[in-house]
Amino acid sequence: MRINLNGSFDLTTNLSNSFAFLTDPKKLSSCVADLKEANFLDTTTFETILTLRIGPVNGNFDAKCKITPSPPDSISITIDGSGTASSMRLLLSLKLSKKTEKVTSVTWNADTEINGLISGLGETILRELSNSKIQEIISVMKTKVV
Amino acid sequence: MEKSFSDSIELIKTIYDFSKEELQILEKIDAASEELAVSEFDHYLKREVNEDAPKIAKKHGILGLTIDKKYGGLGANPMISVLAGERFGQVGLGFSTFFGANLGLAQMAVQMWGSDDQKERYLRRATAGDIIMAFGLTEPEAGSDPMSLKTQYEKKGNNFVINGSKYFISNGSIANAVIVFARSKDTPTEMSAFLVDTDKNGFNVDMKLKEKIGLFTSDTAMLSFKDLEVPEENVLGTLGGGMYVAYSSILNGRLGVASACTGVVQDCLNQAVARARERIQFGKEIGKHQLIQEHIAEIAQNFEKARWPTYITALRAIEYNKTQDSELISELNQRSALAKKIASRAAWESADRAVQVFGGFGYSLLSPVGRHYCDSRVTRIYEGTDEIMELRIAQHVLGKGFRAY
Repeated sequence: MRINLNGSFDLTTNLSNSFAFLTDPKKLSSCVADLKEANFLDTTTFETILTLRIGPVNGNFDAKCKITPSPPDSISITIDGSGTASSMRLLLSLKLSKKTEKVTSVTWNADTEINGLISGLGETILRELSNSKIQEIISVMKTKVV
Repeated sequence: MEKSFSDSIELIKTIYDFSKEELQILEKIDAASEELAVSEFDHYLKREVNEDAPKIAKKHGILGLTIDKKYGGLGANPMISVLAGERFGQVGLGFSTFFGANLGLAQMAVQMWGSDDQKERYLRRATAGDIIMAFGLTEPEAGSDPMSLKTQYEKKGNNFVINGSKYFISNGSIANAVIVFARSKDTPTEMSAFLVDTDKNGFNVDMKLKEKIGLFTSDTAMLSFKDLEVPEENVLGTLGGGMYVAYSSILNGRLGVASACTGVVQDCLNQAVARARERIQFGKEIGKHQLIQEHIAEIAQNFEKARWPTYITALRAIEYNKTQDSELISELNQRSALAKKIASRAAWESADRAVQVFGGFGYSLLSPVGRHYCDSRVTRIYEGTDEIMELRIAQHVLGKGFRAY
């Protein structure tokens, strides 16, 4: 099952700081509430265990995240994960632009492919749950970025 | 906008001209449905009534979808109403049932039969989402035959006193006001409808029915009335004219069920197609196996069978609203029965086939098709059983003198 989501949000800092924050695995991972643990392999890659709760489905998802920066304003993030009899591949593209001296606009596009048990929940549910998870991460991100 | 919903709107453009305002209403319906989907899913799995659903509907301003703008509604016509029903049906029949009982049965009855005072006291508040309404017709011994009601009323001073019970009432335990149908104790051939406030002495919720096959997010209750006093200004329609109120509401209700069932079939098709494209067995997508293709083809046919009688009935209802041509009433009665019979059967069969395409996961309530399977069975019973629908259809086709009951 493929799900595409996109949107935009603002970060209250300049483009350079925003870019540095979004390409730092430690800072980026700190914005994900359901992240159980993270093992930082190098400056762009980390492995993590995500706890997943959808209705009664409550399991762990092993995921590998790779950040590919394209300075000064583009970032690509790939997440490959599996668990709870399911697999997931997420390609997140971020495009940053200067809004003002102290505000950076971030436009994002997420292409997700989900297979296995979780995909059986249906696109409507998964799209809405994914969207609410992304909004949750963005709201944490806004409080952490300076 | 959900693709299958926008596809339906595009198709209907070939037979109906939408105004800009109507398209905006449908966008509201779609946005509400998106938000309702997760909420319904959460509550369904907990087997609990979704008390967030009325709040979400209120937030999106859709509770008075077909109610006159004069009372705060959106003033939508039957075509917009059936499209909304179709979209809600995709989300699940739990919300459709809440919405149908609150609006299609109860609010619409007040709009059609209520006095100006009743419209101010009940219709305006229900439309704003400040109260929830229910429709109390069915009794333990009066299902398909409403003339066998046992609930009675008698006049005492300026009030009527009601005694009796009601069964399988959607929204019954969460409603602030229920339209209660009862027979006159003095003249048993007369049936009347009363607007009853549920906070009055003598109104009791005897049971919240949780032991259902499905529809967990929708409230179903058994009610009883013990010397319940109702002021005479709360008679809905004329005293003794309750049967007219009941039948006109049921006509709305049947078209509402047909549209919701059309949405169920649409969602079963969407889900089954996605599953058939993705799931690999014997080295290829199961959609490439011919027996799975048969299920997909049958559900696709069911969708066409379900939606066209519903759309055509909506168009005829628009015509009736414009002309008030009494000849159309009989036709609408037959068309609503036909649309409801075909669509509810199509929903149940499609859910069964979609479960088969899903395999073991389809038997789980985690899957949308599993939930549709459990929910859709009741649509062949409520608002008129399959059998009553067939009698209605046959009677219309055979003509006068062939009434079976």
